[in-house]
Amino acid sequence: MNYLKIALAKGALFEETLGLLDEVGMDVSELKIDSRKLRLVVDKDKIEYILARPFDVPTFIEYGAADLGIVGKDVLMETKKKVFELLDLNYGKCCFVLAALRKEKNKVEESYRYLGQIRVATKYTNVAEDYFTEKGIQTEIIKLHGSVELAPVVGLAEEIIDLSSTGKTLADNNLVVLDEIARCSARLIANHVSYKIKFKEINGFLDKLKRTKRELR
Amino acid sequence: MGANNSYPSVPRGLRDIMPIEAEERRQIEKKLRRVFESWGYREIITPTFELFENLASEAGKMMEDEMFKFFDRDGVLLALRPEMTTPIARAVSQRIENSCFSRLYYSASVFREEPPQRGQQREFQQIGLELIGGRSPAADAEVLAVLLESLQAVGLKDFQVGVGQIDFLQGFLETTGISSELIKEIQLLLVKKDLVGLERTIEDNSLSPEDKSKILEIISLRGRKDILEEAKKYTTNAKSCEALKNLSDLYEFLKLFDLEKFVIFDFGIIQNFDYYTGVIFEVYAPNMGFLLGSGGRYDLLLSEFGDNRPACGFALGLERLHICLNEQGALKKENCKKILVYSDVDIKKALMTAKTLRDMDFCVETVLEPSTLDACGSLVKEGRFKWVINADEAPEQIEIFDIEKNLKKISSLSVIEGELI
Repeated sequence: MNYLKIALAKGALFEETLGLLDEVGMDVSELKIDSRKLRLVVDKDKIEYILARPFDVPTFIEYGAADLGIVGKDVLMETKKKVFELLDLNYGKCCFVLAALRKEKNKVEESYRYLGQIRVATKYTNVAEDYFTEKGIQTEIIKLHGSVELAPVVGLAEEIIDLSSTGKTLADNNLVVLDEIARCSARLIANHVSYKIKFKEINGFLDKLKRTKRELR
Repeated sequence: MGANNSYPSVPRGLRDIMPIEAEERRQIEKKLRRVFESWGYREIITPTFELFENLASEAGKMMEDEMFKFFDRDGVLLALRPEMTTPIARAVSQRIENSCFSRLYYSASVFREEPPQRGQQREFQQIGLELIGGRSPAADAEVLAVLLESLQAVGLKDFQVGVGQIDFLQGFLETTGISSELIKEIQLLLVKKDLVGLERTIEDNSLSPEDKSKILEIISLRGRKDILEEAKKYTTNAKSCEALKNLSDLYEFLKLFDLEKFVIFDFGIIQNFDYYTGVIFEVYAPNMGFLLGSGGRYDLLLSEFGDNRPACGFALGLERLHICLNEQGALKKENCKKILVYSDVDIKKALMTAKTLRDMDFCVETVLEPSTLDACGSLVKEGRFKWVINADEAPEQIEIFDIEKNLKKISSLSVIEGELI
């Protein structure tokens, strides 16, 4: 059985990913029904789906446990796995932002001058580290697993780095964007070797997606 | 099992290679060495660690962060070698006077401070060769031919070798009139295999729409001989044409060796541009998500050590090759001809019998205490022995148990050779 193995991120992108696959003519009916399955083979399309947590998708791809994957750029930036980034799928759009409390915006700068360091809370420590290294700013990065916007409110950190799509959560917590770090969206990724060994199959799939993308525009 | 967990184990990313695996690995290595040597390559052994500045030369820069670095007592910065090509380039430049060709091979551990990959942890074994001197496509073809013969010799059934030429795209980019900074940026994105970033970068710049789509099309040009014709349509600049000529010459040479069918030309193979200067190749096998090996031409590397000879070579990951051979069922079990000798009454008889058998070129272990066949059971179960011999009545009478066939024979030491086949 030499099917194309595709790893899908089970998270915020999942619904739209199924929509896209449906649109290019793949049979996703079973993916829609049973949400607990981790592996699913669709003989008709000669595809094996692997359903994984978003942060695990790049790992599956890097090791070649799956040939292709659909996952957010945010996850790619954070996990830093060596994968082939083939296509921007243009959905699941959001942005990495640096934010601080509205009323303390100036205070942050002052405290940086005074203390020489800012405390930054984030779920994405690699993204944060890369960003501040590039800027040459010294920081103490505090890893949180959720509700990052809480950190400045309770005085755990002066700034946060988080994903924002509408900006509503930030606004609700009186946070303002200081800088846009990177724009993210869903990406099609491939394992380096799979891309060569299954060149025809992967490029066929890629072409289908590209065609749809064009129609959408 | 003698598991004792009260002692610390090995550092992260290192491991013990136990006898079964080690034996298999040496078998594979032996076959590769035989192929290399049949082409006249000779082994070179360089130091495990070297001066950091030598390993981190211009071409080795990409490895700088991945090296294990340390100081010696004199405060000199040293590093464990992360690959073999740079140390060999150094050795050749410093020690081999400009002879026409140097054909050298190596099989050695290299060390990289990297997240673990399949079949490649912080210490792993590389086996490969360097052809130093010779710039012609015949030299490229030789290196590629040895690589292909090697893969066949070890019995790898399912593999692909992609062959690219770094100058083709390089030549094209130079004709588009974009700045050298932008060329660098494009190359970096290609090395990182970030096509989304690439599309965005060329979108934002002063390239003509035609050139934009050409770049994207060139990197997906891939196929047999006819793709070289196809590639001609993209550009007429001298550098790119030279690159195509190089590949088609290479193809003709490979044909002489009857190896051309294994090669797929691929202009999407992009590796570090500061290092490679011409033909470049990668070895893939199904179900192994990482490269099995890679190589190419790096004509400028030796010049960093004051030698102007060009060079071409390849390296294979021995552990990855081992994994693939195992998965493809290509590892043949070597005919086991080992003998275990015991005696219940007098171990001197066992030792003496063993010596006689070793003189006949058998591999023989002895049980070093008086023992019975039953007591040897656990040793025998490991499947390492073809015969077990009771030497109680040696040399006149020898009891031979054939483990595989479950047979018992009686012989004497003087005629035993005929029985052990």
